[in-house]
Amino acid sequence: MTFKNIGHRLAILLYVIFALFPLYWLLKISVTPNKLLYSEGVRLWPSEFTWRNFELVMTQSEFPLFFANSLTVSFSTAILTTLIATGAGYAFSRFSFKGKVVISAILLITQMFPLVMVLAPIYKIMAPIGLTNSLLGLVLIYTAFNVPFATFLMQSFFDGIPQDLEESAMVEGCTRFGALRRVIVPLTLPGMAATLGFVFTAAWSELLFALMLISDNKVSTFPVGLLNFVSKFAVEWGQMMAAGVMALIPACLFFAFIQRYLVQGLTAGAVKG
Amino acid sequence: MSAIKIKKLRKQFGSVEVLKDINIDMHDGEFVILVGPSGCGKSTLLRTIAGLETVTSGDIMIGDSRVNDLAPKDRDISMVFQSYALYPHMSVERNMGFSLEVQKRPEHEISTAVNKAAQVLGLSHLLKRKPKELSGGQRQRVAMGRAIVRQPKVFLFDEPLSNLDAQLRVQMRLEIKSLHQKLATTIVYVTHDQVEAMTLADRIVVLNEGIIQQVGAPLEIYDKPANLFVASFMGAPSMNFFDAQIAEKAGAKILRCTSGTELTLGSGYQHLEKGMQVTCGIRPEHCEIVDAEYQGCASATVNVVEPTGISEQLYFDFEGGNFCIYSMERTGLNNRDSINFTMDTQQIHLFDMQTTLRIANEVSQVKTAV
Amino acid sequence: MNSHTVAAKTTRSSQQKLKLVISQLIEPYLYLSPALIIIGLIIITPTLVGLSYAFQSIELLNPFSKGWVGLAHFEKMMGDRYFFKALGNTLDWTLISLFFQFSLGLGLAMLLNRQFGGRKLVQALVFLPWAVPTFLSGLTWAWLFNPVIGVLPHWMTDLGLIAEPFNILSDPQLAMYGPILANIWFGIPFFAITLLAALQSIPQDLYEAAGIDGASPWQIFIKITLPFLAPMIAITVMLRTIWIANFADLIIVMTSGGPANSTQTLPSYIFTTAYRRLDFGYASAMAVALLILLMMYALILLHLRSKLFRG
Repeated sequence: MTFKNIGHRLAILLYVIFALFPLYWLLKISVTPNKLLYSEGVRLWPSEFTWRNFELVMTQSEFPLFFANSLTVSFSTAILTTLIATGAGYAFSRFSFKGKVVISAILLITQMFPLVMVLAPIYKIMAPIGLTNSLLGLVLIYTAFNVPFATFLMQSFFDGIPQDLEESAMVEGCTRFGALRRVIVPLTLPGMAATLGFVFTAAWSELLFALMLISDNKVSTFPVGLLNFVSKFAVEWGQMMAAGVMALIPACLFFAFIQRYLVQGLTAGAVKG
Repeated sequence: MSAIKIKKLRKQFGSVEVLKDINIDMHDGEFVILVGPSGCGKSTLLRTIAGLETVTSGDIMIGDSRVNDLAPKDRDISMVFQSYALYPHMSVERNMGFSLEVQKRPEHEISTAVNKAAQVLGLSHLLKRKPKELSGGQRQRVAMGRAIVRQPKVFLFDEPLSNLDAQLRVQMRLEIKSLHQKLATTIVYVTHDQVEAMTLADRIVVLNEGIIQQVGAPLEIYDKPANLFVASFMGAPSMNFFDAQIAEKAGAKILRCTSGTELTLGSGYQHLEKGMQVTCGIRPEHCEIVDAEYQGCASATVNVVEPTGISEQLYFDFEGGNFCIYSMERTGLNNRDSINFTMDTQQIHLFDMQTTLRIANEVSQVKTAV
Repeated sequence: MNSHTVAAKTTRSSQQKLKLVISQLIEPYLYLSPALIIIGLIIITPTLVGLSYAFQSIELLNPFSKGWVGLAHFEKMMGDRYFFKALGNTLDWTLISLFFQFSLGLGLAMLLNRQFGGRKLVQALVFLPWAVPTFLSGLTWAWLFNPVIGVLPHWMTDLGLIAEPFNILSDPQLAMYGPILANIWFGIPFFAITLLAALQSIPQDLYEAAGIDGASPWQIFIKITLPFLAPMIAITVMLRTIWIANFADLIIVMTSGGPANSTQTLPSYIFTTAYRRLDFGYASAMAVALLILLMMYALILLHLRSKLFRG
């Protein structure tokens, strides 16, 4: 191995360490027994190992409920958004129509809007119709805010499918919708799955709307629950970290799942992140 | 009845008019080829027949019915796309039976039709495969098979062979021709390859810039191109052109080229007025290398010699333009060699310099009339 | 064929035509309508309502606050020390984060733009921070900065950066670097991924041709790589600037804008005003101000871009 190659590997190693170290630390504290926290603060691996924190979080806390709430919200959002974005992305990919430029500009602008601008009005609008302290309210909001990005993403997937295919299907006896259903959708399924993954990840992380709209623990999502826990039990380090690790799991699973589509996803959602 | 009549068809994309006043009558069972350079509107014309594009004005009739306002699916047509447009997620079998599947025909009927078509095209052993497991030629056959299974009134082909390599293209050309002879269904076929057009068509429609330039049987188009465009587009290597004036010498009309070279003028053109400016065209195969002693020959210096094995093409400058001679003999000439050549003056085509239209040859007109 | 059937035929054909025309006009909107409806109801409407709030007094904690107040909120803003503090912080936060996210992201993309064993795994690992939920990134980094359970203060002491281990997040002078570091960590993958994609789209034969022409690696980078990346860089940097400027999660989680408003950016200040003080009117007025600033930024950039491209 040449000197240049060694430099290359070293640089990569530094990036990997920087990327993983905080997560590693999270994991480390979560398996450290409480009594060792203070005495072994800077050790890279504790001298004793315990699952106790996870047990406590799973059995004694409300985190399982938060976890379930977040799963419900994120999956519902992902499914609803993907369905809506499939239609809209298809329209953008296949039709030229009046107002196309305007509508796509509006979608783009919504991605750059200060989110804080709509927090208060949404609260005021949703409170009287019972959509605050409600998972449904969150699903609707998350869906609306993810649809533009998901639409661009779906559009890029549809653009990758030759128009000839549905034209051929239409010549052979399908309506446009029939061609979409029989030919295009089966081919876009991987793209739809990727969109689902992206939206799930986004919904799983959302914090500000959840903080604003949810005050009842029963309908808290994971971020809200965790932040409340942090402010209430500021010294239960092990349990906080164990809960953090729990929050990481679905995100990592979905990340592995959407890896292949990251480039497409990020380009479509350059504004989204 | 599956004749196609196109009347006063116009098609605009925004302010761009891509098809201008198209009128064609295609007979039942005819093999019609639309040919022209890219962007001439040939594919758009085909797509309006398929219903994949709407028309701005005019009528399209398939058989007895006006189909302008029918969706593609209701026009009873089949189309073979350049990309073949095979459904990647379906087996060859389902691809071929798709149109019948959509019509919810019973399964045994579908499989009978598919098997029959597969047999005709030699695809029987591939029915279970997915399109991606097929070679280019096989995909092409599946696309045709899919079109056949539907038993449509009309087949539409959109540059179906342009994704194949040269050898396969020749083979598939033959297959398409024999298929047409077997099925006797009307075919409208778009290509930019004039060899395909010449070899396959009953009639050729030459298009340029959205306007029909000429409609006719292949040889008619080759032998009597209606204007300069058709003359230069059809034929490879393409026709040689030079400018000349009608002059008179010893009581006969002759052509006097810009440089002063004089050429005798065929008997059919003796009626032309003296002093008229014309563009002359002559096909490379109607020129011949001759000895220096040959009377009335012209001389030039060879720029490029292109041997093709079966023939040789010689390029040189003549009358301010690039000139080509197609020789069936191996001349043994090299670049920079001087040559003497002559043209078969009976084969010179004359075009009006202003209108670019062909100037009729009275003799050949008489001949065709008889 | 008698006249009756002819008439029937023509009406049917004109009906067909009408149907065709209508369906072609309406069809795209059928596919779009769910998206348009939900965006209209949940993004556009509240935005307009929010605009109107900027000129009203709406404090949920103060039942007497009601009605139009004109430009009062904006006047108050001009005298609000914290507003200007937050504005300056927003600049710091955005520019520092962006600079490091971009340059480290570009470096990572260059490192990954070649074949080596285990590249796929490395790629997955270094991109992972992007997938970590932002609230969790914030918490994790906050914990890392905590001298009780985190390791960073001890390392910083060892390096001589600080005299003794303490939480920099509680020091008004230093607190801002906490969220910024977390933001850099979180944002590198975004730039790395987009730039890597752009790098990989550069045709390989260009490099080969340049190599044959005798260009040095540095010349190749300057003359080929950068010009090819430029459009991608321009668009991602512009959009990302706006995105980072709007991004408040990390600050809210790590410091809540404290201590003493020292880490408050405009979005976090607006959120705090709305969420803790429930003063929707003033929050909306500041949001309008933020929106105007961002729009001005975007317009200036677009203007510059069109000028550059013309020149």
